[in-house]
Amino acid sequence: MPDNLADAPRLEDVLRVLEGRFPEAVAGRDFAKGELTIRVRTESLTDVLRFLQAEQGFAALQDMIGLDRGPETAAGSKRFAVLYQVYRPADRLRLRVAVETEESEALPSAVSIWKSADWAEREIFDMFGLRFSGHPGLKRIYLDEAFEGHPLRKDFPLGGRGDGF
Amino acid sequence: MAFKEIALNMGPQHPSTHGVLRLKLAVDNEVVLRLEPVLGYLHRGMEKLWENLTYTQIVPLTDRLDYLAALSSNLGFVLAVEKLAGIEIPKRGQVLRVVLAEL
Repeated sequence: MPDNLADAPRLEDVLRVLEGRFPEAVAGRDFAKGELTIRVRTESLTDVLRFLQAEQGFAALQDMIGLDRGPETAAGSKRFAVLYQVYRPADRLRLRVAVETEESEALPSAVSIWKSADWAEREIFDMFGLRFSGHPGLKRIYLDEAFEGHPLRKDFPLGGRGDGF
Repeated sequence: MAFKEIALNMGPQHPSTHGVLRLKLAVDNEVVLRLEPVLGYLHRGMEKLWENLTYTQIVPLTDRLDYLAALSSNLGFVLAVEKLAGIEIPKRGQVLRVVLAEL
């Protein structure tokens, strides 16, 4: 499992093509244990995802992951992040795209790019309370509609709230 | 027969679904016009639960993710932990895992 991006030439290629096509989009990258995460800016998110799907062969959005750094996140950095786990079947290449966000912001929905984003975005809305603009029906997917709060946030009590749910 | 759209709730408990799943159907006689799945009846909040457990405490809980392939869920979890921690398991363990996952 390489920790150096130079040892993963196919992922390095994707990053180079992406940076060439959208010079402003990439905010950073993390590479560890053979896995590449490309951090992109919110403004460029839709362009980057559409490019990966339409022109780089990443036909599948396998999962979307929400991330909460907790309410004490340092000023200047954002509390939440959303990660897109995409997959290219042709050479079985996996890639993560990460974008940082806040509760007050709405990320652009990826449903028009991958249909699998529909339920994935509903899950993140359910668990973290993050919104996606342009989603065809953003509502809770697992929890009851009457449930209050978003349980995967770090400030949600681990032992529950004893409110009947 | 004349067209008549009927709203039909299939589930959450239904003999043809393995777990619990509710389908909100709009049907015209035998034809399903629209379908909206309602899920989450078996959502047990495992991710939240795991926030406060050690890696080994989590292993038996991964059994419950899919009761038809409990060992495969164990395997997925321990592979992730081993990758994270840089652990390489003995050859015999690797072979046993293949056998168990294939059965």
